[in-house]
Amino acid sequence: MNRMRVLLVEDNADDAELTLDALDELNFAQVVVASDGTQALTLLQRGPLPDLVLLDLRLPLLDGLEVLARMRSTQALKGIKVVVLTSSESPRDMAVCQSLGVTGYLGKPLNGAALLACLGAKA
Amino acid sequence: MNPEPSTLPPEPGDRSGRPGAPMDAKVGDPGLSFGEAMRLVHELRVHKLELEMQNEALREARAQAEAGWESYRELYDFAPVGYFTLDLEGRILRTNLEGARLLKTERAKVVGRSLVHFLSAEDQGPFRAFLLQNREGLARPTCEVSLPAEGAAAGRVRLESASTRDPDGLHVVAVDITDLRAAQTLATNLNLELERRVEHRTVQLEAANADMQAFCHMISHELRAPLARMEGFSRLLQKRLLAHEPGSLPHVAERIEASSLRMREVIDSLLKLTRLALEPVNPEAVDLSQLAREVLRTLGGARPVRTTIAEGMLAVGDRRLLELCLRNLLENALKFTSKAEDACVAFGVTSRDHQTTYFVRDNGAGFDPAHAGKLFQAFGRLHHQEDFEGTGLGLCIVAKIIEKHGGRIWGEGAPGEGATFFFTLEPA
Repeated sequence: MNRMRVLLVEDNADDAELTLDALDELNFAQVVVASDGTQALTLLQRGPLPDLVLLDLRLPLLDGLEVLARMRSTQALKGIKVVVLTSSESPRDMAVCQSLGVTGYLGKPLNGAALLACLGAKA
Repeated sequence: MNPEPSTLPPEPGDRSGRPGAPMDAKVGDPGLSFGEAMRLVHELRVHKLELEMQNEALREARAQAEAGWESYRELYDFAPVGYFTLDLEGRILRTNLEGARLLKTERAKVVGRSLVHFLSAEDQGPFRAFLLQNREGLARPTCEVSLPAEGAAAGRVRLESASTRDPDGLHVVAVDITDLRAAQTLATNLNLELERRVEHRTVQLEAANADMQAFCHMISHELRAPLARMEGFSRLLQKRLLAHEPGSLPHVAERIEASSLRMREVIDSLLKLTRLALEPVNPEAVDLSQLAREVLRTLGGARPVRTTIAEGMLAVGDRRLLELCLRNLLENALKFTSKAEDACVAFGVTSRDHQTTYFVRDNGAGFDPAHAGKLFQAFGRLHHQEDFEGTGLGLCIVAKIIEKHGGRIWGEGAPGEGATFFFTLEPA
């Protein structure tokens, strides 16, 4: 699990700080933060590809669901694991995420144990 | 029984003029005895009486017949339905006053003319079929025509055969059913209108319901987000305390406070928005120029911003709601010009589609027109929250106020080139 490359897509600085702290505790290395959907796609296209994308759903401009849909329709990005990290519990959002194949759907603030559990189960 | 007047014997009682004359046996038939003559005179008197009685009876019978005819004629002429007696070709032999009224002409001008001539080309076919059905002896045929053929006064008339194969002609009853048809049309139209309204309302309700659900999910997200931050930072606080890292504690505590403040703001805005839905619009004359100046005075910060407000913008609307609307729009403009070098905010009026259209323009961050649809949605942010703080409800509140006034609002802009919000205050 160490040395995993993670792309955190989060527009809120407080949320990013809390998530980074939780990841830090897990000793995840190489976390890159994108602050909106457009920036996330740019980083993904430029590479190197991350092993995991931690994706917020409510993002300015291009929202999380749109980022996820574009990743799934791009050959090179299709296989990347995505864990959604959101404070939304909209059934519609959950259903869309499920249909687009996400590894996990976690609430904020990020709980390290919960992340490990969902990655371990689906790894 | 037909005696010459000269040979008529004088009446027995009539002796005044010629005394002794009736006694003259030689008067009249010389061969007639006085007794026979007297008998004849008596018979004649009886016959005369009989004749007089018969005459009287005849006069009475005639008077009765005339009275009967008179009441029949009155019934016929003043009947509330039209009567026509037609020949087999449809020529009018007779009609009553209502019949003439239906044809919108005088009775004297109708007799002898064919009823077909009073009909529109469209009605002539059905009428000829009606005549044919009568000739064929079908039971009480009917047909419906417009009389007169055209014009504003044209009414609908139902023709119904009252008798078939009458040697006198064809008796047709004509009933004015204009009012009946109008009432039927009205009822049908009302029904259609009602159905249309029910359908419209159903669509509106379904849309409102869907909106409400989406809105509830958004609210829950917007309230959960700061709550999750408070939870996260509180945990962080404990962790740092346990790890004896006092340096970062002020920052963590400050973020907890910021999150709770943010939550309060969202709740306040939500309350404002929900109260809006319940509040009635109290229209009055409002000087928007004056109102905008007052709002700007309370919004004014330390930062220099050039503000231009057109003079004399008078509108009709709810003063309190319009103030909230201008406050949000101007606050929005000031917020998005906070990073502009030479910040300008203008409030003016123009004409769009021949309608008085107000606008608030700024030279701030602008927005991508592709996302203009999100502008007035609750929490539909087009910018990073860190760049421009806000509850995400300001423009949503503005849109609700404009909507309550029957007007519409839209935004135009481009990234880095400022934004202009246009609004009207009455239906187009």
